[in-house]
Amino acid sequence: MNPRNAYYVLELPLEATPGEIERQGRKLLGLIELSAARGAAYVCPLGAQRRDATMVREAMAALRDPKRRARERFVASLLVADTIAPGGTAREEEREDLDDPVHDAMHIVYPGL
Amino acid sequence: MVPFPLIPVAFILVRLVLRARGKGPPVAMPDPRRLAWLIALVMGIAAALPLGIGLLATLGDRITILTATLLLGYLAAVAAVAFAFRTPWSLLHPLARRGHHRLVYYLAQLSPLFIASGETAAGGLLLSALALSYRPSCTAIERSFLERRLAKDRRGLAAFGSALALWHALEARAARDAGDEARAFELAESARALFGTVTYMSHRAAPLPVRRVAEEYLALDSARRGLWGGLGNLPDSPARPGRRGRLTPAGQALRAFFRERLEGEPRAREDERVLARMQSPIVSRLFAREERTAGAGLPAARAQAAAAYLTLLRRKPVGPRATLAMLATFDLLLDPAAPGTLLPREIQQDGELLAAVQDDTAATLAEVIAPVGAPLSAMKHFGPVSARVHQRVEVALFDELAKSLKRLDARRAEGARGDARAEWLEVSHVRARYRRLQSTLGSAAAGRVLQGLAYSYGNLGVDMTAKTPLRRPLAHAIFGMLRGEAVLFGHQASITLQTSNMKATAGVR
Repeated sequence: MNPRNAYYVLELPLEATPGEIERQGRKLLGLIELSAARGAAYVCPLGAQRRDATMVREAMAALRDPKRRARERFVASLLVADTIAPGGTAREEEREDLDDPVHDAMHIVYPGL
Repeated sequence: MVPFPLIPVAFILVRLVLRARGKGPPVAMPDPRRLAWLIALVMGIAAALPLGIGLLATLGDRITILTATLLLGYLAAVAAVAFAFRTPWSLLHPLARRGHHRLVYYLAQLSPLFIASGETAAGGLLLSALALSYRPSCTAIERSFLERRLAKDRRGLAAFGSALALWHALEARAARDAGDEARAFELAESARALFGTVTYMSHRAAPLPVRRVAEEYLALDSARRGLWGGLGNLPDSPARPGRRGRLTPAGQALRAFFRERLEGEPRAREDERVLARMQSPIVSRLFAREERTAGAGLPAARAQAAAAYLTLLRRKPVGPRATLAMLATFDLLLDPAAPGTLLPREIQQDGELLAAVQDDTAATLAEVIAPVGAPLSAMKHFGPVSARVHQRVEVALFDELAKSLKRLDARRAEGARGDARAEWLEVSHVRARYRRLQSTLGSAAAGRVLQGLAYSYGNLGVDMTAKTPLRRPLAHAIFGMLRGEAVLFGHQASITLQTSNMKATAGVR
């Protein structure tokens, strides 16, 4: 659920094997070493995020430990496909509740704010 | 023809009236622009007397077209000067509504806008900022026009604070449009905090039009954040008919929604009139809202919790009720004893792993809740996640406020003072942090830090009162806030002290 979740940082599916985790981590470290744009950013269900070599190493270390892996996998699964719409936005109910925020309230008076 | 000996006499009379109007310290020598306008007004009035005598003499003889035209023209000019002197805001504000930010700024410089507080320049800036806000968009160059002039202001009263707040709001919109949500959030928070400071200023330092702008912005912002409770405290219309209240039609419409739809009160007649005149589709949509019935079980609650989390993560507002519902849902999902738990068996059976999962989730949620606040003290039952979130948010908020107060003390020890903009932001942010702590953790928690706040924040006010650059109107806002808290907690000695401080700083110098 955290954008810095190890599975999100490594852009791996939750069922990835230890071998896949190692391969993906090394590939990303290589990309970052080469200053490739593909290595410096990632897209997770929580939106686009920035990534550096330290984050990748920490994520790899977390997923090498079976207990940490189970923990990261579960926490990542809390926001699953049925609660997230394509493009990383939440599936929200169309109808607003009575006391929901009025997102465009400022525009009643100030269209520029 | 003009009886010049009358001018100094009339000027002294005007000074005496100005001095008698407020209970604060005497008004200091007016600035040159204010003096020029006073002299122009006095000369106009003084000239009207001999002209009237001349008119009577002319009527006794015969009125020529030329004499009558000259006479009427002159009286019209005197009336125009007197009218402009009385209501320059009423003349310039409609122009600002049309979006002419430069024109309105320069016209304001030529007018006696906010002459009593000597804030003509800042008043022009406020009108200019309003002009940009009334437009659908503005450019970086237009915003920098404001920023450069804000940096030059030396008076730093309510018009300046409001113009600074609107500039922050304009920058927040620009940052949001550029996709920088974090910066937009910080700027919007500053705008709200600055307008909040304006509401604590004395009536002499914050003229009614400025107060109306501040109250309106805060009402709209409260609706934008779903903080409906704050709208119930908005001031009522003035008792005397024909006088304008502090609340604008937009603020009144939002308050009417709160009272009618959320509190179940009948609609007041004055609200009826405002709503009938107001043709805003946003307000119509608001009144057309219906209460959502209970969700269809845990999956729906989970989807709503995910939506609330994602919205908070993007630094967008989520209503207090939705935030608390999100926490309650995660409590259920991550409680091994709950029937709908998502925890797999391997985590349920490993206490250490279970605690780590709950900690991770709580840390993630606390990270998005702490910057915006949520009424956690209103939660009736705490579960494994919400209790951890409460603990983390509590630590974060106390820590943030303690750091702010420590910074104030350190700067005081050094004898360092900032410019008007820096001090406005400092005063506003400290109060906003305290308010966030209070609204999130409750008054009892706020009471734990009140003594430290009264010491550090109060000393900042004292420095502004006694040391240069003097900023007594801003100090008044500090003392006003501290007095309010003293009343809330029933600290009699503090009430007396802050009331006396407020009296001493009620002027404009």
